[in-house]
Amino acid sequence: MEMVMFVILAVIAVIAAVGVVVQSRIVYSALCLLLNLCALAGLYVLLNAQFIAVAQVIVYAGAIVVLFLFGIMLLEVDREDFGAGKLHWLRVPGIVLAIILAAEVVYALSTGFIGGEMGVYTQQVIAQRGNVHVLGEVLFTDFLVPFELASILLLAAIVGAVYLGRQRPEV
Amino acid sequence: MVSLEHYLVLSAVLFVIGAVGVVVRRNAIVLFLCIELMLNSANLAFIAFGRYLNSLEGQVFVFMAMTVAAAEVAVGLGIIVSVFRGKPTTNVDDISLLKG
Repeated sequence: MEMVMFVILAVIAVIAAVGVVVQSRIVYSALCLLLNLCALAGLYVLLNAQFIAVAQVIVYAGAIVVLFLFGIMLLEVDREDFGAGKLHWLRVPGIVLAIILAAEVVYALSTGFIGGEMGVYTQQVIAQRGNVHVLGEVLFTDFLVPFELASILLLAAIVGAVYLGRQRPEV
Repeated sequence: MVSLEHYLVLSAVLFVIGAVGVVVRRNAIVLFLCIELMLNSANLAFIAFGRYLNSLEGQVFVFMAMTVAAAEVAVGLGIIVSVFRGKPTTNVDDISLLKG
């Protein structure tokens, strides 16, 4: 059952990712990314990370893609024509090299050792106490400094975005 | 039984599709969408490792990566709009001069 769900969500994610790259209309690319993000949220639920799945839908699908759509509508770009551009001869070598990279990664995964030090939060512990509870516990004790730094990073991003979007005086 | 390798292969495939998109597409916004695709594939790898190694550090790192991605999208779109004000094109091949 888990394998069936994994295959369905993985196929949706890959088809949506190809849709992002291939579409000529830019709004369709953004909507394909939305589909990909929702498929990934489903995979996170399958991996027993429910908080991250919902955070993915709220932050990525609900805020970041909406921001992209704002940008697309503001700049009023409609489609992109393939074949134009100075470096269009690099497309085929780029795709070939990307396929070689994917083959290398799959080979490394199938023959190498994937593992590490096992932690303490087994699935039983998380199921007993709840994913949000346990994540909050870890976030506010072991990872408190990165958490606070993330809020400062967001402040810096807000200041930067406001500065970049200011009205320039007409010279 | 879905193993860790399945999730890592899916993450690698999504990453490579995003990388192909960054190389092939010439519109700045679609370039950005493909970069987000790559970030999400890395997030999937993190959470898969977190689940199969009984650790929550994968989820914490994805939390931080989502924060960084949101900040990056805000600033990046501000940059694209800024550049668009100087020269009304979103084709990255046209924005090749430093003086704008």
